[in-house]
Amino acid sequence: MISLLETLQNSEFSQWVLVSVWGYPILLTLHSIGLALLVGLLIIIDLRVLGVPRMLPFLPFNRLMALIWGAFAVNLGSGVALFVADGVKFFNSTAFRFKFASIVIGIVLAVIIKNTVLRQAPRLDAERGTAPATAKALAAISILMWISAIGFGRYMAYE
Amino acid sequence: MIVDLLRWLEASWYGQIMRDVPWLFPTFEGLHFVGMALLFGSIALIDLRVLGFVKGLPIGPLHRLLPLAFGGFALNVITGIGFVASDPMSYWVVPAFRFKMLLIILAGLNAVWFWISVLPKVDDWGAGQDASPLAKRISMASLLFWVGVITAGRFIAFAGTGTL
Repeated sequence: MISLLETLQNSEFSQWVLVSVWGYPILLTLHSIGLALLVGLLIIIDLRVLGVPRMLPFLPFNRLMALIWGAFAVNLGSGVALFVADGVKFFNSTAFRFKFASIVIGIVLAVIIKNTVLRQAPRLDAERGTAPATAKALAAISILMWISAIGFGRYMAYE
Repeated sequence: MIVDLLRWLEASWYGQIMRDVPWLFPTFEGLHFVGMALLFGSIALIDLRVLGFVKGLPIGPLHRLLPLAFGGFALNVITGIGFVASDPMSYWVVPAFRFKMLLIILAGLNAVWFWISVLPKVDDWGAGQDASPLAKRISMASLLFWVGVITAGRFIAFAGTGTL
């Protein structure tokens, strides 16, 4: 694993990311814009599941998922690029492991909420119903996971 | 005048604690990103709906997301002033920092314009209905300004003096 990371780290691409004037800032900027969209929209869906604002229908949020996955793809791509550029350091970083775990849990929760609450959107909207208590608990955990991912991501710069 | 204000900010208690408490700056950075996600997420959703994406959402009730946008903005003003207070001059000399402030002012004025000219009509635009061409232009500008704010913000650390 480490030797693979070292090979990647010494690749021309990694050198471009680390040494060029533009590589690192451009990747970080993409990572930030993707984060704002991904986390911002997922937190809005989580809040709606929690009941705020109640007057918005659930159904249209299904269409947001395409945008959310797009933002996730941007951050996965830019994230992998930033990771391999300095792989050994990140692989050994505790903050990175916590960030990674938070993201995995956050994404799993997003998929669960999409496949439960949002799938039942037509019925919930027709009944003007609220999401089940379990879904609300998952939505609350999801919000915490994204704040945690951001927190540990930022902390990586200080390790 | 701005330089006097910055010197005052640097000497204030806020500047003091930002320099003296080691965990404060990183914590504020994390909060600044959380605030950014709340602000940009809610603004982008409103703008995208006005532009015709996720048309199933009625535009009227979307303004209920504005407290989230204001909350995120307030969080970022508080933490942002903290960063600057820690070392104002090394921010002030960075072009990316000045450009970010300019873009925030422009985005703010654009939001006021939206508030005055578009918000009174939003209840007419229910699910599936088109917003006015003016509303779409303002929303397009809003998206570009905020993406610009994030980009310029990210570049402060790179285009700076190496001390930020």
